[in-house]
Amino acid sequence: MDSETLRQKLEQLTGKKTGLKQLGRQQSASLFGVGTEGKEQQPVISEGSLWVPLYDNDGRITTVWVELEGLSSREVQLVNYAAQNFAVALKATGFREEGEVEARQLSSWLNVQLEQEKDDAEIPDDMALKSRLFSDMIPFLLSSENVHSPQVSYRSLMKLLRSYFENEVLLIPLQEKEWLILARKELLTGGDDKEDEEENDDDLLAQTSMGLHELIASEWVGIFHLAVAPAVVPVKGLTGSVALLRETIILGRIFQVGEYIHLPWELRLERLVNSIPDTRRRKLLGQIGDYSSVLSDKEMLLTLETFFEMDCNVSETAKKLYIHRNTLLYRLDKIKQETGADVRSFGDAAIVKLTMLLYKVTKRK
Amino acid sequence: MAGVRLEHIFKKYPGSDKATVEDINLDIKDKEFLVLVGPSGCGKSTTLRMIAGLEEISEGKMYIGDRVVNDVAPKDRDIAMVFQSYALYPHMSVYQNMAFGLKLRKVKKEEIDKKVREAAKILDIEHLLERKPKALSGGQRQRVALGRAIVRDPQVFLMDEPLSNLDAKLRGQMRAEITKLVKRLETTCIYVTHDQTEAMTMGDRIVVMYDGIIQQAASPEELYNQPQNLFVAGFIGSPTMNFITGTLSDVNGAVRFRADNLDVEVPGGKAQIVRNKGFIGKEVVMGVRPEDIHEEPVFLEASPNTIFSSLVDVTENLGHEMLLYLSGVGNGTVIARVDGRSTTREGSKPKLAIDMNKVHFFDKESEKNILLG
Repeated sequence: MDSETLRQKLEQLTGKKTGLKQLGRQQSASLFGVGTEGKEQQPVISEGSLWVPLYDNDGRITTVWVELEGLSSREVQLVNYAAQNFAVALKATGFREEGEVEARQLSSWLNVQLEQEKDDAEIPDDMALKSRLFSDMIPFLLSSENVHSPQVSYRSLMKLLRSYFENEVLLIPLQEKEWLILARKELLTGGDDKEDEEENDDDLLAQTSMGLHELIASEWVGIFHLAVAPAVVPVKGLTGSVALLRETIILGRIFQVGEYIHLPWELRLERLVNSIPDTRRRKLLGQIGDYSSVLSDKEMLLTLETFFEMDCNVSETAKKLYIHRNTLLYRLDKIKQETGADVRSFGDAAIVKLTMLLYKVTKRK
Repeated sequence: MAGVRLEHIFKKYPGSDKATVEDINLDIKDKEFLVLVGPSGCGKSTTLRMIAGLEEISEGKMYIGDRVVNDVAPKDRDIAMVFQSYALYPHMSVYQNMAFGLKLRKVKKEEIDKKVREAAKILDIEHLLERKPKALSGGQRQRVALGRAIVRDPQVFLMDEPLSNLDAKLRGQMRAEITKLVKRLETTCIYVTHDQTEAMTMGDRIVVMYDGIIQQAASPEELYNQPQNLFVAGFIGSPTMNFITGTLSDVNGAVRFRADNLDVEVPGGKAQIVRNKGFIGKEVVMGVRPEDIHEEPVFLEASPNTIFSSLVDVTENLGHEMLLYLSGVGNGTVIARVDGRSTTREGSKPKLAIDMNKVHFFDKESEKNILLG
């Protein structure tokens, strides 16, 4: 049962007006008493209504209220009794924050779909959050290493995200250390604020991820991986997006060691290599030739990675590595000398790039 | 404010054979401006990220002030970090970007407003407060990122290549501004860069890293004048130090350094050290900075035992100085930095002299500076 169901039950029972309200700290204290932390808070009658405390969020108490006008004292007693029992049942479910139960319900369903590899499953009608999943949203997947905070609560992360996304956010705890964040696309794209048309979606998502990563890293927990996928209408495409995000983080951990933000469109070739069975990969690696002297050399590996990242542009690679162009040419010549492959030609570059990926996925297990 | 101490810090990624950062020991004093410098992949950013709590420490102890922070979350370390990528919040205005961290810490609105406006004034971005990051230039974005760090009033600033996305002119300008700002705020600052000019001009102390290991930690002057090994000698200075491989020999009681087309006398103090350490008759690398090769007649007259002659392949006149690219001496090109008014031309073979009091000798095997320690 959630708090909304509780409210509806009370309304049916009394036939009176009811509602849910989160009170401010001051109002909570004046209504339910100051310093009641840790003690069971009791319902109170105030301004013609019965106020039943449900849960306390950092001094802010969320209550369900029932209008009492026209009820006899016996009826008020019965309503009070029923409300208290409902509240106890609600608390017994482990419910702490509005939204968490609904989020966990969606999480269970998502996990089942993902286990069964139903990437195109549509969210069923009985999901409490379904009504919020019809607009374009940007999905982020956060996978925590939890080094500094072994216990991460839904509440603390949600609080941070709500501040950041101006309440336009859903947080779905998928696994113990895995969280799905859904942010409304309009908030991030700025809606009608299109002063810079040149910025494409990928750039925007990359920047948003950097900002979000910085925020969560510095304000919540330090070490975690973050992946983002293109905007999706969750009611239909959420399962597929989560599958993509999960795979992106797995690939990121293998192929982008030392990096924590992973973007699916930057890992396409990696996805292909990772889909090859391990025995086949090792066989392929053996057949391509001996690149071990180059790939086990940290400096050479970094040089090649940067060279490919810069689209085989010598000047840009030298700039990015902060080395002289001639130093880079010397290194590329050395690679040619040791492996026979000249990465300045497309064919050899493609083979070396694939070999590098195969090497990473087979050696870094 | 606080100092930072790293004790035997290691970082090893799962599945990697070699540590990315190896046995780092550093004591960064309160209010010190320390620069970590080195080439790509040397472990400087990883070290900074471990200080920030954004990277797990595999081994060793990290202190901020007197507190061990290995298991302290970044938000509780009282640090502020500025990234190369700026990492601004794209949907928030400049004002909101700067205020957000304080808002989360429940600082009063008036206080937030005061701090944001003060920082904006210092950084000269008051007129940009209502803009979104995408409407800002690279330099302006970097100022906002700095502003976001400043308003938090942290014990330690951590900056990871904050200027490398800016063009050269702006970089020079921002370099001076950051130095001034950090001094003014009297905060400890740890700054990562690949750029030796940034390192030399900004740092109270510089840590040169290579291959995950600290090569030398010293003041800019000491690094330049007393490099501990070949890597540091070659990394600091532009144009880079000349390295000439040759042999040290005893000729009638005097120590001489001999290489192709070069035969120069080693002065007494240095001669005694190489003699005592058993390098006579051995092959060593002599390091000489371009400005320690002279062509002025007065110098040549005063240093008859260090004169050599070499072909000038190329000259580069930079106005205030001229670079001569010399061939035929030792095993490669030697660069001399002479007065901009020099009349030496390409293809000529002038007489030059080395200021042997300023040269260094490096062990060819260990690459360590023989004259130190």
